[in-house]
Amino acid sequence: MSNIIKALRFISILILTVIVSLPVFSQEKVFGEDTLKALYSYKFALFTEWPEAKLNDGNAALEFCIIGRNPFGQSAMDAIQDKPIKDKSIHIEVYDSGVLSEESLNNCHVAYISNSEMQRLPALLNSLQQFPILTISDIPGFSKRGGMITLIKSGDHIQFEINPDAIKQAALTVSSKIIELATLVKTSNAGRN
Amino acid sequence: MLCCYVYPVSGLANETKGLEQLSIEDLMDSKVVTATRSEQQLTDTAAAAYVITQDDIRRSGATNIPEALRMVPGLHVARISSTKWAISARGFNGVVADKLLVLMDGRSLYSPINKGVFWDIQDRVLDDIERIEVIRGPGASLWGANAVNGVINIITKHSADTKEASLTLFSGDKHGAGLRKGWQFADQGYTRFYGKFLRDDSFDNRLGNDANEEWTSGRGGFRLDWANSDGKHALMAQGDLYYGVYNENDDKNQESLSNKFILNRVVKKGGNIMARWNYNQSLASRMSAQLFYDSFQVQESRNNPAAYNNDVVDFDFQHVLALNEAHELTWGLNYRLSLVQLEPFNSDENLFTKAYFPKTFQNNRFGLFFQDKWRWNDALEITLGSKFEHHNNNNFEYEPSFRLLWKAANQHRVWAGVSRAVRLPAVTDLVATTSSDKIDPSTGNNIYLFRFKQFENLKSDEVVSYELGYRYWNSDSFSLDVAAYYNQNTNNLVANNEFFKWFPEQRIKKSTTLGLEAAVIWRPFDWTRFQLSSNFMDLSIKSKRTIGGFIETAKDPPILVAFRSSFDITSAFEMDVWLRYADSVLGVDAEQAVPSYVTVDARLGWKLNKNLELAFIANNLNNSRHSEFYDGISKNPLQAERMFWLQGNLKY
Repeated sequence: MSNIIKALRFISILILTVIVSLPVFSQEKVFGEDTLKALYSYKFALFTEWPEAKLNDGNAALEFCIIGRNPFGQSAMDAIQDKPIKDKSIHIEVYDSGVLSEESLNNCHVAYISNSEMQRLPALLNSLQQFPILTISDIPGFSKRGGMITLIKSGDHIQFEINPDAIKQAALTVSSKIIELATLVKTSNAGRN
Repeated sequence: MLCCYVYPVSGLANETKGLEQLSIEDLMDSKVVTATRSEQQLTDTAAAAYVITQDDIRRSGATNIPEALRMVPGLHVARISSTKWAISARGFNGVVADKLLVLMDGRSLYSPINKGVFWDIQDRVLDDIERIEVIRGPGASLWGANAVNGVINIITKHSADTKEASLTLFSGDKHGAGLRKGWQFADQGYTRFYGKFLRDDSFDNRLGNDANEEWTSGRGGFRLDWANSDGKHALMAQGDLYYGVYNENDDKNQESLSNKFILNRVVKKGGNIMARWNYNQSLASRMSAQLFYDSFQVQESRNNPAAYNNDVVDFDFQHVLALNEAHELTWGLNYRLSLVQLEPFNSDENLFTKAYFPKTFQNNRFGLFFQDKWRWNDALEITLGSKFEHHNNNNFEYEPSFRLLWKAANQHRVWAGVSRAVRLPAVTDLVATTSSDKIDPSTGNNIYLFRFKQFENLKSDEVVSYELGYRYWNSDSFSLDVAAYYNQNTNNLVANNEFFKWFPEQRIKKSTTLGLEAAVIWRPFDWTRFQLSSNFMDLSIKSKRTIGGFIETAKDPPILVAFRSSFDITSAFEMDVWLRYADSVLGVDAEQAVPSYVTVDARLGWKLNKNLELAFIANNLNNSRHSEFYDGISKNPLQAERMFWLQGNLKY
């Protein structure tokens, strides 16, 4: 037992030393990458107009569908879950295995495509195209391949690309306030990297 | 606008409240702190699950996979010697832990010879590992036989994520080097190659003499990922070759004062190759077909068997299908052929020649499974499934599971499960009859022939497990994960043959285990993370059997506690301190007992720039000479000592 006490004493001294010797800590940190991406996604949804029929589909929630392995940690999810949006509130549904029925897809207002679906992206976008669903992803080149909004990590910041044609094709409108801040891209075959 | 948006960091709850009110400009000005890992989303798993991320592995200072597994709450990881680890969950740990299934990218690492994992041949450049998923408790309905007390899934990075070259070197009380480089060769085609070398120090015996068991190993391999232009078909292929050599000290446990031990030279080599084809049929349906071949060979100079090798061919098919909003169906089939060869140890001093029959043990295994994930409503999810298997020594086996997840409220989850899992018979479980009437014409010696009953029907080891779990979290700043289980274990398989001494745990016939596992993660500041986990287990033995004159006692420490703390001192400096406690274990003899111990590991990391990272790592800093595991045979188990090493990682 004395070993434990010795070790515990050692540990507490170590921890205390660290805490005491630390400067008044860098208040600099703000978000984990996933939290920031979740917050962006929420903002994008807030500034998106869906066709009347899609919004009045009887669903009390604005369905935020994650397709593929969930990239969001707990705080990222908590940051947007149940948050108000157009008389509704966000409801996150995770399709971890990457498959969802057409019924489920019909419920989605936003589809966040996980990085785990990278190789499958052309097929996935092809299936999503006919639906009025806002597509967001952090897969590089997502918008150039026909997705709507790509979140890009650039240095310490997150920026975004928008493909306005893709948004128009899905009969959605994204506010000019968002479009103005984005890098605009078109669907191209060269965008696959 | 150039400066960062400063969000007041509070250690208290509700950190995420009001974040949605930030403007898009605020978000654009916000800084991402990469060092801050966010807790993995495992809250909606109806099982006792834990994930080790790449960042965890880096910060643990681990140099190989078994060391990284020490991070998992509830997993008992004990190092026996330089090359041997005992790793299991929920009891029945052993030199070979036969009730834990381990997979790497879908390839089973479970050996058909010794019904467990040879940890010394399983390794990678650790930077290539994306995550390690660990499930405590049965996972047989999905993963198949031998996933009795747990499943470990080691998942390596997609090769699109490993394009940069990475060089890792470490030196000190152990030495090693790892190199990885990746390329893009087509529009959606990526590949990487790696090589790794490791030289690990030997343990000391009770008198403090080095056991001369230094271990040298090398390995290399590749991974390739490719997808066609419409994204419907994707191909993954990978392969490894490895070679390892070490001495095994037969006298390590004796109180010999000199360092002149009789050494058993062990050479292990092998390789594997696998290919997986993914077919994304539609949004609601995807399939995968996988084939692997694995070959493994061992030569020993003074042990029995003197040589053993196996070849495994495995085919696996899986189909995931979203039927409608409520039901997600997964089904699959599997075929495995394993060929095992054992060669007895024969010395010139013996007056007889040992022989085994058959020369090659052939084993066929066929399996079929289905699982339905049923979203009953927004709050309730039911998972129901079973695997059915046919095996050479076992006509039919069923492994059903029923699990329930209740999203009781935001940030509260309750789950429960009832399942049955089995451990299938292995070559070393076969009963042998002996005869000595034949004469070896070359030596004139009698041939002592062991005739193994290769196709005899045997009853599998079985567990029926009842589990209950609860999770609570408050953003990333606090989380609690509690699981309780009650297992009814029946060990039917008995290696009542010359291999019995490998498997002392089979002396327990019927038993029950009652356990409680708890883990708390607390992040008072976003540069500080504490994780405390404790595990209590009570094994009650209902019936025993005597084999080889010994009667078994429990070998698992009833209490395990781990405390891990991580500090991001500045954006360039990291400090990790890690304390582990394991309760004492009684041996049959007093000298075999493994006393309780506390060990402290630490790592100090320094990121010089975005390409170069240096770390100083200390194991067993408090210098408690301790044995970690009682293998059921050794009189005085080897002792771990203090180790220091310096590690550098260069990426470009």
